Amino acid sequence: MAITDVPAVSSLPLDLVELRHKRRESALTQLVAAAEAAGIVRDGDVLLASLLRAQRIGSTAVGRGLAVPHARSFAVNRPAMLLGRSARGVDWGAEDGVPVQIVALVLSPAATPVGMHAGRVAGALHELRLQRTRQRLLDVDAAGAVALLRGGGA
Amino acid sequence: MNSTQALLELHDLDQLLELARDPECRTRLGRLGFTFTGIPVLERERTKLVAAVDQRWVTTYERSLARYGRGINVVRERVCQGCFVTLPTSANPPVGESGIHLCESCGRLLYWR
Ligand SMILES: [Zn+2]
Repeated sequence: MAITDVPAVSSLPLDLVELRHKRRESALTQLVAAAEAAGIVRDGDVLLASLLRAQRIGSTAVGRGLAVPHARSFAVNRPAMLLGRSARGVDWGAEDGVPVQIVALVLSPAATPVGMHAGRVAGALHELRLQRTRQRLLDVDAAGAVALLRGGGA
Repeated sequence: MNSTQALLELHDLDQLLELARDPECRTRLGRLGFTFTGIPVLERERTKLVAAVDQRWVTTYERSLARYGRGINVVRERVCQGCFVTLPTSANPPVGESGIHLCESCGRLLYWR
């Protein structure tokens, strides 16, 4: 069945990152580096330190292989979402112990109101809540994954 | 970690704590699987960060945070986004450098880059 009803995860500009590492810290490092290379972020060191610290809030892994780390920071130039995927999974320390295969990094500039930023995070969580959506994102090629996230059916 | 980096990280942490303490955000994200059990851990982290920031800035930062809900403000097109006063040319940071400045008009800390 062609999944054509995958809604746009985000109206934000987004990038797809193939995660190469098993460790959460390495995965976040890779995502931040990609964001910096894309001009979304400057002061990558500050952002990375903030993201790593933020993991101690509880967990940004919500279970079933999904994690949504996020930040509102001066290190962020413009709102964006980066999607990392990993077929073998990243050890994220999720409560259910399931390795994370999809990571949506949600970034907002410092001046973003708290409710607006929370809305972006909630939007990513909501749109990626279905197993079939996440599986589809793992199965398609990079261009297809981006198309899926933008709301086209790949 | 230098003092500017510590201050920027402190800002990010306070932004996160604001979200974690906001009842509406908590409920909304909690329903989608987020947990916020680590607030006390982050509060201890905050104390460590504060100690790493230049003490001249800490007082101004904390006062702004308490008064305006934001410890550092943004400068856009030379205008302080806290009080909307245009900053004098003499306040310009050196070309290519970013840094923390004080708005002479409202006393807020500004991150100018
Ligand atoms: Zn001002």
